[in-house]
Amino acid sequence: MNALRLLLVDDEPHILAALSRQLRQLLRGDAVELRIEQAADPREALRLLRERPYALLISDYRMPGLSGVELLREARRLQPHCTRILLSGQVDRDGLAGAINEAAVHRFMSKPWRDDELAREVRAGLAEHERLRREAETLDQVAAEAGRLSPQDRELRRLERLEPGITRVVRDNDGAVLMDLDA
Amino acid sequence: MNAATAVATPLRVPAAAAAWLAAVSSPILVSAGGRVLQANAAMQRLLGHSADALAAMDWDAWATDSSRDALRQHGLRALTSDAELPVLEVEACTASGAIRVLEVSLRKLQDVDGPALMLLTAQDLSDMRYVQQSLLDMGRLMQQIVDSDPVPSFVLNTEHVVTHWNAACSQLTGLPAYQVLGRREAWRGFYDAPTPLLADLVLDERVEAEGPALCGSSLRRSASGWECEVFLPRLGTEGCWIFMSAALLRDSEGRVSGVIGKMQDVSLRRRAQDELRRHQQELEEIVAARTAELLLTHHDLDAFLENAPVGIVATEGTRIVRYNRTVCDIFNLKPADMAQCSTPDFFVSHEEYRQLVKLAAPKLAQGLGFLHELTMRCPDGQLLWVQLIAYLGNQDGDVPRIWWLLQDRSEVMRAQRELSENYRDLQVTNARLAEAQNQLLQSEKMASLGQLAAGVAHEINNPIGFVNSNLGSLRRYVEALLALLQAQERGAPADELARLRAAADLDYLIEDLPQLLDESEEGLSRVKKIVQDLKDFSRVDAADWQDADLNAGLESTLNVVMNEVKYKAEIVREYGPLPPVRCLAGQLNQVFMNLIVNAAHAIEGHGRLTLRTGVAAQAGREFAWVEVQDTGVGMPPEVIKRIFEPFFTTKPVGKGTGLGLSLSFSIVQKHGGCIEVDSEPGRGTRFRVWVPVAGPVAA
Repeated sequence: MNALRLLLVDDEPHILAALSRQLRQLLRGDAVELRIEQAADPREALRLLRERPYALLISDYRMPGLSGVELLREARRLQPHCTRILLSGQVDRDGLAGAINEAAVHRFMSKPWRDDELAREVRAGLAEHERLRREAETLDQVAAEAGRLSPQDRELRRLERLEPGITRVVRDNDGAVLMDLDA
Repeated sequence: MNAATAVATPLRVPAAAAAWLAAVSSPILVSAGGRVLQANAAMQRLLGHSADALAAMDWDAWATDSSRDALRQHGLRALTSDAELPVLEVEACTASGAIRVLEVSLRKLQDVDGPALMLLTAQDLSDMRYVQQSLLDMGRLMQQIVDSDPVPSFVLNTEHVVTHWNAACSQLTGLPAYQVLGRREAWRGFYDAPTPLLADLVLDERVEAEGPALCGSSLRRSASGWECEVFLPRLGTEGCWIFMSAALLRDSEGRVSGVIGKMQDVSLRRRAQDELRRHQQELEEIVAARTAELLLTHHDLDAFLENAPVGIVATEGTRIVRYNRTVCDIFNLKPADMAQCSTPDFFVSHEEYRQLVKLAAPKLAQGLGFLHELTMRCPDGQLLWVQLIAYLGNQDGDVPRIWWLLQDRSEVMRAQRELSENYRDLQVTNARLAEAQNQLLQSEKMASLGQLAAGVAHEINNPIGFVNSNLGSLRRYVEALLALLQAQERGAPADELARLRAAADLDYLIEDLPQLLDESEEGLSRVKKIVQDLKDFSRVDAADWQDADLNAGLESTLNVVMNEVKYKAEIVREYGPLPPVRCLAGQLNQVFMNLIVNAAHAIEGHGRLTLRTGVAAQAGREFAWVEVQDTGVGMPPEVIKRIFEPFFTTKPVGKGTGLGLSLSFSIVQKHGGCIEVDSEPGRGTRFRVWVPVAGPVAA
């Protein structure tokens, strides 16, 4: 099985370091292999989301440039099965409500967080991701068997889930394929 | 012829003739040229000789030497001729030696056969002479009297001929006497044309008829004649007023012999009289005018008194002698009823009335006004608060008259009382409002503090978050390391050691542990800094004025609100060197925070926040300035006008109290500084706070 990717997004580098540290410690025992990736800039995070599949996204609420809500919203659009966790030190209740509702955040954690809380939420998030993925596959299968989904499309979708962006090809005016996509 | 020859026959007057002659009353003497043949009694009396003495005398012996010759001649002629001889004036010496003047007439007396006789008839002219002389003397005397009279006088005779014209008259009329004397032209002295003078009229007894026409109304009788005053333009330089009198002159028989006219130049007197009259007229006019004025004034005064808005009363003791309408209104009386009242009726008690009089007496006695306020009573029982002024008036009789000015001050009293109460209420309300305002300010501070707290909390949460996390991680690292160490100490088997080593993630741990500690340390120092910034920002320790570094204050303030700012804007610092500024640092930091947060809020999306500081001199004093500029939405002029108003805000309801800038404004004002605003919609806003380096000037 492929390793599950986790994306941590926070403008505070030390937060990212601490989170990574913890997650590595806490989930080492789990059966699953985890690859933890960090982004201090939300735009960088978006770029990553376009390229690789992530099982879990942990994002801060307020960041310079792109707000957490927008990032999470985009993430939902790009990778609907990537579990989204909002981690925030803000006490702005209305903003949080907006984030939760608009971005359909799965889970919320406040800073500072507790170790066991973090472990629990991440595990739950991963499980959720797994569930969603399997659910999508099942749906596709049903659709294919019902004739609603062509085998190519099914394959395309599967590939897309594995490698987001892989099914999209952008050509320039000359017809050459552009490999690097910026936002 | 001599007497001797006549001896032959003594000459004798015939007896008949002699008898007749003796009866004649005039003095007669008969002679033949010699001795006196007969002399009648009258002659005897005249000459003072007896008949016998005369018979012994020559017929002309009685004449004085100076006249004898002429007499003798005359006699001779008479004897020798029959003609009528003229009379002859002869001086006779009487027996007593007196000289008498006689008028002698001689005639021949002859009988047919008789001798020629001379009849001498004498008329004693002496008296006549005497009278004549007297008359002459009188005349001369009168002339002298008239002439020397300083009063201009003239005399006319019965023919209106000027007989006297004295020097004074000449001077007055300018006519010398010789020009008028003997003429009928007395008028020349007075008129240009022949005009009858008063004297003429008196003489002709035409005064009553023609006098008024000539002399006017001044004509009147006097003791001796008539007098009048006329204006004669011919005399003097501009004409004179002449007082003329004319009196008839009578002779010894009482017959009119002439008229004497006297004049006096009464121009001066007349002028004075006129002046006096004019003066009197003027005076009378003035008096009349004054009287009229007085009357008017009196009327005005009366009207004024009657209509005056203050009550005016005059009392004599307890008797009310005068009152006006207002008094009646004040005491709710009809004027007719007022007349029935006496002074004490209007006081609450007789005692009070007496007290008032006693109080007033000293002031009134000095002639000063007496001012007082007291409760008075209307006859219908209603009580009033009255202000009065009393004056002593003129004294008619032995009871002094006092004038009282009254004003009903009940309303004013009431109003004053209400006013005091209102004032008290207002004070209470004001105190409450002040309190409320304080509370509002507190809540604004609270609100901004809340906002601050939120921001700070977030700023702290991050470091605390990862430090906490790292502590947990550290614990696990240490536990794992300790387990390994303990196993090693125990002398555990190699595979157990390997297992423990793997479980500890040793390679990663060795690399990660120092980083963990560094990061945690950094995190805690950040927390420390935030707390310090907060402390610096609030300057809790410094509620007093002190010399502060505004750059440091600005910087720590910025850090404190960094959470609000860092996501919205790029921060540019352009700090100039600032001297220590006398201020309340905590309060100024509050102002800076307000400006920075406002700037951050004004920026939509992302922008730039520029902080600048510097010093400049203004009006001879040194000022430090701190500037916060944003690239936000900016403000239109109508908003700029109102930003310092309390409760004015452009933010939606619930966001912001609107007190931030008004509070900042009052803080800056307290420091003796000011805030400049420069803003344009679309361009952004620039606030500049000026604070005097030396602190606020004592007011």
